[in-house]
Amino acid sequence: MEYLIDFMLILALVLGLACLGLRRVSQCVWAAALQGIVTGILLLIVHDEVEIGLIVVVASSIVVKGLLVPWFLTRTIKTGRVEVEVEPYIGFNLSLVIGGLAFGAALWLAIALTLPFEIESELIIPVSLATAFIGLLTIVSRRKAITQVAGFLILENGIFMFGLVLVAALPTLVEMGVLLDLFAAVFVMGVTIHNINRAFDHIDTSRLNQLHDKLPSRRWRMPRNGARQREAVQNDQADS
Amino acid sequence: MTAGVSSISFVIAGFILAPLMIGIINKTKAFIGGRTGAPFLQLYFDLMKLLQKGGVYSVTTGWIFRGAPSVVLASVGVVLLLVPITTSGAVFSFNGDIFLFAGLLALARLAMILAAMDTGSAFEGMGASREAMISAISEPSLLLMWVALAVITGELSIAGMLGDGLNPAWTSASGPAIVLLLVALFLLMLAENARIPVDDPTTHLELTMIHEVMILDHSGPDLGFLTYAAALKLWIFAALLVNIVLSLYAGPLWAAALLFGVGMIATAVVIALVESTMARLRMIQVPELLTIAVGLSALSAAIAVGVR
Repeated sequence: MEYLIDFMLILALVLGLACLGLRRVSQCVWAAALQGIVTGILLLIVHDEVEIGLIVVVASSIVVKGLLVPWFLTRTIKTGRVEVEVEPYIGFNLSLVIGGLAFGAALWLAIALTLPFEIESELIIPVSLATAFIGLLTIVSRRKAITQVAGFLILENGIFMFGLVLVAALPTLVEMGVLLDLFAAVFVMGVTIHNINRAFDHIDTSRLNQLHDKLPSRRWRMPRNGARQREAVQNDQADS
Repeated sequence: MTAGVSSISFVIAGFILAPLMIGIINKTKAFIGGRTGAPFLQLYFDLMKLLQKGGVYSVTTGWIFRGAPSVVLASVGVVLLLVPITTSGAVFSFNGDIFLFAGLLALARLAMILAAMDTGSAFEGMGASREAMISAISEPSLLLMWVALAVITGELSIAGMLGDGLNPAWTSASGPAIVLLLVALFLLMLAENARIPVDDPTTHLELTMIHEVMILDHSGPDLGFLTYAAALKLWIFAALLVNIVLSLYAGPLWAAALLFGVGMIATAVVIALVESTMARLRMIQVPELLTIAVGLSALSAAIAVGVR
């Protein structure tokens, strides 16, 4: 059983790294969702005996993180007409390298960290720390609000995996509470993104400081990239 | 380490069967494309034909151009001697032969690049430049892969790493490291052998020219040598891949050898499937693919060191 846990942990780590390297917002969201499913299954196989409370937690976490949240986010992408490309501040390759270094640092930290009790797998701590870091990196290094939500999901997955260490001590109620928080947060973020998008025509977080009480004047409103390109094309056509 | 009869016969089988693997790939691609395709043994016929011809040499080329095909074939041939089949042991192996492996492949590449530059053709120079770029990124991946295997098995020779030591590692904490390694090795195999996501082996078109354009000016036996060396190189990388997968199986050697044959055919079919379903990547995206390979092997090495 232990090596199955290891495989799932590494799968979760690779999915997190994939989210740093993927080009499309929807792919990034699905990578985070798949990681949520993997962490849910991990919780199931870490436990020795299966009981009702466990099954409820696992099932609800898979449904929420693997189905509801990505469905909701893809819906926001569609209705908000979000452009497909991830716009990173830090390039894809560099992000991957930083993610890899983060895993190295997490391994070093895990070796330095002695636990008072035996845990199921030596990889739980480094992978969960690295996943949390990858989530933070995604949040700070991506321009679109949707990718930031995906980063938040990855961060939560990291915390969830760290909880596997305390598998005996962490009661079902706490897990359910965390899950509810997550769902509420993603819901709020989705609605907010939708509304920001409606009011401003873009969800570029680098320009959030232009948010004002009243709607910004025409002078403040910068057209989003796609609009600008379309304008350019129309001008070209007008010229020719 | 003494060379067993089995390891020598496996190497001879490699020398004989390597062109057949290319044949299987081409036949599968033709089948998927709805064509009849060239016969399985086409590359043998081509090699026969080329060896009977005379060479044509441009007056601008010198001894480098004439010597390079022999150097390439010799170094790739020696590399094949280092690769075992499951637990058979290699024909010769010593601690640190991983560097001989990487070094000989680099020597073959250097000879090819120099020969391409020697022709003075702008096309060949461009192909050489691209080959150098790709190998500069793929070699770290190869070496990191050897590091990971060395840490996992505690051995320093290729035959030792791919031998008995790998079987218990699958079910230990370093199991996922081996899986990551396999993915990295597959990407590396495609890149090193100029297969489709990186290079297109069927054309000399300007856009796809890496390997094919570098052998454009060679003719006769020289071209035969280079083509045969390319087939051997593909065999070597596929053999590494199949060996690592086969380390899951701990049975008698004859059964393992049989499975090895099946595995090589399966690898050829998988390569053909990749080539039939994917388009070649833009040149600017090739380093990104190889960065993924480097990242995966680095991750694998990190896990191997971390859980040791």
